Amino acid sequence: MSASESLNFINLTNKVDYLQVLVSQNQTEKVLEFEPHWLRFNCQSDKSREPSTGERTITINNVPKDLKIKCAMIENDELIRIVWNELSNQSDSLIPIEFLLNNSPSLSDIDFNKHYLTSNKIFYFDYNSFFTSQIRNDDKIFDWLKSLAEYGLCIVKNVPTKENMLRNLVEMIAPLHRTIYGEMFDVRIDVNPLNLAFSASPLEFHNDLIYYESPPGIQFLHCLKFDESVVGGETLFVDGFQIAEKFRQQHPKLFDVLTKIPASFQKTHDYQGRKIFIQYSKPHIVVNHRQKIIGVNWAPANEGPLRNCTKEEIKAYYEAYLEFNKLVYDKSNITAIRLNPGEVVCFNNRRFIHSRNGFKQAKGSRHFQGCYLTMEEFKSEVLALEFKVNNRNNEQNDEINQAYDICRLKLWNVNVANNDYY
Amino acid sequence: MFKKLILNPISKNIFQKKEIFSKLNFPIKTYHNQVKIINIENKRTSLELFVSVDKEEKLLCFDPHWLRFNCQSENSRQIGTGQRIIPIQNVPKILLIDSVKKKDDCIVIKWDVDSNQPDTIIPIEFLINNNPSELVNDDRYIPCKEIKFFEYFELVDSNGNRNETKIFEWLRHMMLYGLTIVKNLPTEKDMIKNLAELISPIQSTIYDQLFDVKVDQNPINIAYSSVGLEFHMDLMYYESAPGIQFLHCLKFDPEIIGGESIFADAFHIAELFRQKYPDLFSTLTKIPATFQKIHIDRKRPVYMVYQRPHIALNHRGKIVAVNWAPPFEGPLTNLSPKETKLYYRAYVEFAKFVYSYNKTIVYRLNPGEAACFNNRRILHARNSFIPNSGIRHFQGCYVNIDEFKSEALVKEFQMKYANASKNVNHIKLDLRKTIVGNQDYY
Repeated sequence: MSASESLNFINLTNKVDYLQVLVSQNQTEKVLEFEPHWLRFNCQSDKSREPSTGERTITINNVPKDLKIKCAMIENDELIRIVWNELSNQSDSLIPIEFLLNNSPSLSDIDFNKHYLTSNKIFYFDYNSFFTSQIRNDDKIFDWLKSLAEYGLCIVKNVPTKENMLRNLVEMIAPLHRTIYGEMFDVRIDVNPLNLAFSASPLEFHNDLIYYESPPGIQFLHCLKFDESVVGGETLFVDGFQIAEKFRQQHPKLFDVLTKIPASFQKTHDYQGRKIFIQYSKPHIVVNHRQKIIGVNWAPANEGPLRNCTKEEIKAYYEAYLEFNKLVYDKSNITAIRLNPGEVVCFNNRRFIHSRNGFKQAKGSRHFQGCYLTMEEFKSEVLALEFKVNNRNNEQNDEINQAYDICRLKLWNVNVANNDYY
Repeated sequence: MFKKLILNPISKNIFQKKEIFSKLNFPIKTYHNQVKIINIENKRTSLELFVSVDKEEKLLCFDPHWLRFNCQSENSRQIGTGQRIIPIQNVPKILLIDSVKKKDDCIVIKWDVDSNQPDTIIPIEFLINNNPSELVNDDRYIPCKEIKFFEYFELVDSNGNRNETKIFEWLRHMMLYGLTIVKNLPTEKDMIKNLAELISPIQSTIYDQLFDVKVDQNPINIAYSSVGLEFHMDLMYYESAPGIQFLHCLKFDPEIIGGESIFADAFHIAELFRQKYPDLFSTLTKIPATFQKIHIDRKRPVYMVYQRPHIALNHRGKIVAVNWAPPFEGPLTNLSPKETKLYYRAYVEFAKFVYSYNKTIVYRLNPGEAACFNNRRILHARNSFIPNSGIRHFQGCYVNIDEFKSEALVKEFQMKYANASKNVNHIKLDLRKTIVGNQDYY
């Protein structure tokens, strides 16, 4: 919602211990309440926010426990000025009305939206459409990234089957995320595989690099070669969000267990002289303070022994674990894709658990190339493009304010399973 | 009670199907611990191991599913990669132990026929070192009250040869205390990379690989100016905010007044806060704060926003992360008025705690010195300074927190088990339980 549209009327009432704002917009009326400290800390004047970087410069220690509003008024039809009681010794707070309305914490309905989308079909995008005579087509690229952010899975076709072409595609978004597998990795049969993925074995459903605090956000797999003579080798996906929700409905108590008792993940890795030994414990399902699912962690191949748990917890854990696994392997939850050469499957590595059918290659071969982006870089680019695409034709100076205005963008709160509490 | 059972192994018991081995009392070959198995007991729905580890007697109890999933045979763990390959859907809800025997230094478990599971083989050392019911209660970090100094040329000599023992000493100190200074790192540009890469490849962020902290005309960050900086952690809007931060002082002219670096241990502050204000502490673990970086006027515009509570707890109520970065806070959203009120009450009080903490460390870095600190634990701040035409120039970079901890554990393993053929997953490393602030639930 752009607050500046059809804002008919706004009325302030100083309740001393809070500010009451009556908003009349699009012929509906709402009453919002703002705590004094919220107002104080969200002052957007130069005294509180460094103008060029938007960083907050308020010395918290100078803000008293008790804050009372002396008076509140509207200035220039766009700002609210709050004058604090003398004892508090606080400079006036200045907050743009639009900021108040877009960021109001006191929404009468707390936002319980899941903020992600699901679909029965896979969306395809054409690599060739991303350029119009060698110039980036931001609209088309935004369509692709928006879909990837909201749905979490899509395919880009017609990416030339040359080695490292994938880099061209992904670097349109952000710099590649380098991991212990390098910047780009080859998925094909290795003689001494570092990982079962680099063999012909089937793989259990998993998130990649789960043992990191922040596993890779988006994964790209570019099919370079997948000869028809190769039997098997389909890529399989399961939406972690959807099965976790199903699990919650079907087995609420077991669901609760999986959000509390942490699993153990680990990686022992020795490659080109670099030894890695990571152990990390976290629950399989992560919920925020509203019990909304904000993370899914599933990678049986990388599990280690449960630690630091009582007997009862271990028992409860395994009961829940075995039951959850049934949903993972339930065919109705699985999407299977046999990638064609030139196709790049792009997916949210945190939300979608993926696996692969084993394959036989008597003749011919199967060769994919892969890479990752961090979720922060991906999401940042999505928002940058949203802003660019939606404001290109805007004559007005409708800019995002450096300091605060991310709420003007629609995609800022899309749930990408990266443990963001929103 | 347990001792009586052991002394009379053939005494009556209430369990119907149970096998008791008579006292075994033989030593198991392990590296540091003196381990003796006193008794192994199959309780059908659990396995009990009565052991003596370094002369301390313990009763270890194992759940059947835990045993099944931690089988270390090649049926269950792929040899080259160590990855688990058990098809979970083939493991039944109910698992009963048919028999247990000791073979070499392992336990071999036969499951009841109906369950259709292959034998489970687990080294006894693995069982003892990975016992799940050993609740981790002891201190898992040491409050940082002073700076320990290391010499760069003791870590790696002028020919580039690493001194692994000294490096481990450095890493171990970084793990336990969170702060060190490395002296005599040559004041050439990019030298800091050499120091950081002793640990792992640099963590690249929106500030690129290496960043310069000096006074900029149009700073993209208030650090690139001469103002003072409040206590904070860097890049709190990243899910995995930088782990170890390095700040290499290249130049700090004597005519400059001020500009000291200040450090404070957030873990310790949070613990003290918890003791004094348990209710406010609880609020800060539940209601999330907003961290953000919105910066358009940049080579690559940045739109990052992330919400997380200021303090994160594990399932045992232990602090596993502290997230504090006031300059990067954005508006709290999606909260009821009551929650907002509660939040600010706790927030303002916690900030007071941070400011009044009396164990802060103030240090004026000298050229050639590199401050190395855990950005997830040690709050850092800076006094404002008056340049007086002098130059203050630091170069900085980061290393990922998980990779830092990994390197510390790898080094501990290499120090202790250099000549022994050991599986790192079977033994216990002291540093494993150190809390580094990366939200690891362990």
